[in-house]
Amino acid sequence: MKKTLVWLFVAMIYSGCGGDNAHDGENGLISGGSSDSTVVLLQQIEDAVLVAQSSSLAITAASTKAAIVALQDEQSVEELGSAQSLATTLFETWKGVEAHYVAKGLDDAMIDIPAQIDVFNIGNIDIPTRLDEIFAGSSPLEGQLYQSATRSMSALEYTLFGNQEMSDVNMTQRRADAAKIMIDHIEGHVTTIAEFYSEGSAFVDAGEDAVGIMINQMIDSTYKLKEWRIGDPAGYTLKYRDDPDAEHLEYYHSIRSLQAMRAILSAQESVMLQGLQGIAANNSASSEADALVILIKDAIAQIDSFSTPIEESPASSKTLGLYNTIDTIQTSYTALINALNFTQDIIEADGD
Amino acid sequence: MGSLGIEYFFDTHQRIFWLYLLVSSMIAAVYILYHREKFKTYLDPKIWWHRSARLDYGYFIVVSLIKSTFIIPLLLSSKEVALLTALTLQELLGYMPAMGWSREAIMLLFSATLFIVSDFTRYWLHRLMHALPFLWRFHRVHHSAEVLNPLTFYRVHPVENVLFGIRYALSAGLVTGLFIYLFGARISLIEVIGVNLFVFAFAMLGSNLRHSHVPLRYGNTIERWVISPFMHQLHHTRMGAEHNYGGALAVWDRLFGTLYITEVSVLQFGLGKGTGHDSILDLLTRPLKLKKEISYEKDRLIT
Repeated sequence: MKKTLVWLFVAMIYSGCGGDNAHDGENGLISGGSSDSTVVLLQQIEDAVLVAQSSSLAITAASTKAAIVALQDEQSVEELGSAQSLATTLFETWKGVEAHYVAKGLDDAMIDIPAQIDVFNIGNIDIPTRLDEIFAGSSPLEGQLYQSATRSMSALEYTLFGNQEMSDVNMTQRRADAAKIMIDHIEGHVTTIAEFYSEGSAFVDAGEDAVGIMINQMIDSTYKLKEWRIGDPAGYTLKYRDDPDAEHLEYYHSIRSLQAMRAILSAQESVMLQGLQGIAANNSASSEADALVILIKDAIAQIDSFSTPIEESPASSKTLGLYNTIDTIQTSYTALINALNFTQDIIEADGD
Repeated sequence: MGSLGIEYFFDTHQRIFWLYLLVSSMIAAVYILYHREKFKTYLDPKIWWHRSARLDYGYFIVVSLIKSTFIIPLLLSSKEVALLTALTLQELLGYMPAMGWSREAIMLLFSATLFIVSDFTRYWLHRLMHALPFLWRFHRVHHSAEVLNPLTFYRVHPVENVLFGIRYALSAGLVTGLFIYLFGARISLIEVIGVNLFVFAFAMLGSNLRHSHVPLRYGNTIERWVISPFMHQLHHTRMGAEHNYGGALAVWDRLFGTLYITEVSVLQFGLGKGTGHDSILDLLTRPLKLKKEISYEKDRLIT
């Protein structure tokens, strides 16, 4: 008995002799981040990214609308140029908001809004053909443009830019009126998004789940960036294997596809830098988050290095490099999920 | 520096976390109230200070040190398996948008799946430890205990620790990887004091009494689904050691024909005369020294 007591005494001293013993190696991944700091970082993402970018989107939509109203009054080259310039800003701002559109995970009423605004790769409607038919007709536009697709960003792009060359745009009164119907539709929806984010803290209140929803959304936007926006036009995907076609690019008509890709990546970078990287650091996942930020920056740099629009050559070596980097970003998001502490990593090594 | 196991009493993931011990003690106290004739038996120093029990206490400290120093730092992590699983599923099946289930539903399904799959793999590894002579030589260390107490749970040879560690990493990793593939970053466990709800519930059902002399039963109906302390005690007898391999659920024993429930008032634990161990060193080294494979059947014949 004495021997055992001595053993126990030694054991207690050993256990109490240093911080190293507090960690037995079995439960090393239990969250080290306080929920308070997570809330602060979520609030920062909400304020600096969600609210700021959606408000900017709503303001840009209003400005674009004003320019289109002016275009309705006078279909001059100046007014058209002004509307086109604002519209491209609108497209890019929207891509950013879409990239981190967590509203659909927070409120069921917000699920369908993106599909009302943007139908890229959704549905089978050939928007240019359909719009050309409508512009050539004389039926009331409101009835003709009843489908969301014909009021979407893609529809507005085609209406304002025509088939890539400005000279191709025969900006008639009817075309300008159609653009007004489209921007009204878009403005209504982006205003709803801006109001949703600015009115409450559903995102912050969701806590840990908000992080999950955000990462899922960013993975989704990364996948679509890789497959839909780069892979399909470049002929890297199964769907269009070895059949590159610039017309599959998202903003082919306005030659703004690279800028749209950049906006998506910039939005992801903002989310990371404004809070997600900090949340990851608080939960033993800083190396995964840091690697992700480096990759996103690298992808943005690759986009900036394109000397000619991707519309001119959708399957260049630069495109392939970008595609591969985005693929690695997608994998890195999965690694980030795995590294975050929202799942247990106990090591259970005892029998029974 | 390694661990000597003292912190296990304060770690909610450990079987001997103080709350689980307390609850088991309270359950035992209630049981004793209804079986007062056995009162002296349960508190008899012949059990708690038996040679085998003392060996358990010392072995617990030594094996904790071995585990924390040599085994756990080198063991495969379930997170590594999870990442590999998620990426492999993406590669094979393609990207799938995260399913939009409610967070509560995801948490419940993930917690239950993790618990069930882990219990299933525990059943099979435990059964293999008995069926394969090469493994039995290590598992017999656990079955050599002649009396049972909560620390007998840790009377496991380090080789068995490694096998159970790999088992957990694989089963938890595969489940987690699958759930990451299906639900992305929204997976989470329903936890009580930092432990999977189902694991916690099992612990609160008196899991520490499995290695004790309190023959607590849950009743025939429940015992078709959950392994009671008495059922595990039967497993520690020579007549019942080929049965009741289950960790928490009795379903596996029922499905694979190893469920065993009988009415016995006196249980004789251990492997029989001459098969016990004399020292901690003997517990650790004898399985490695055996020149011939020793099967469970051979152990049974020793009287």
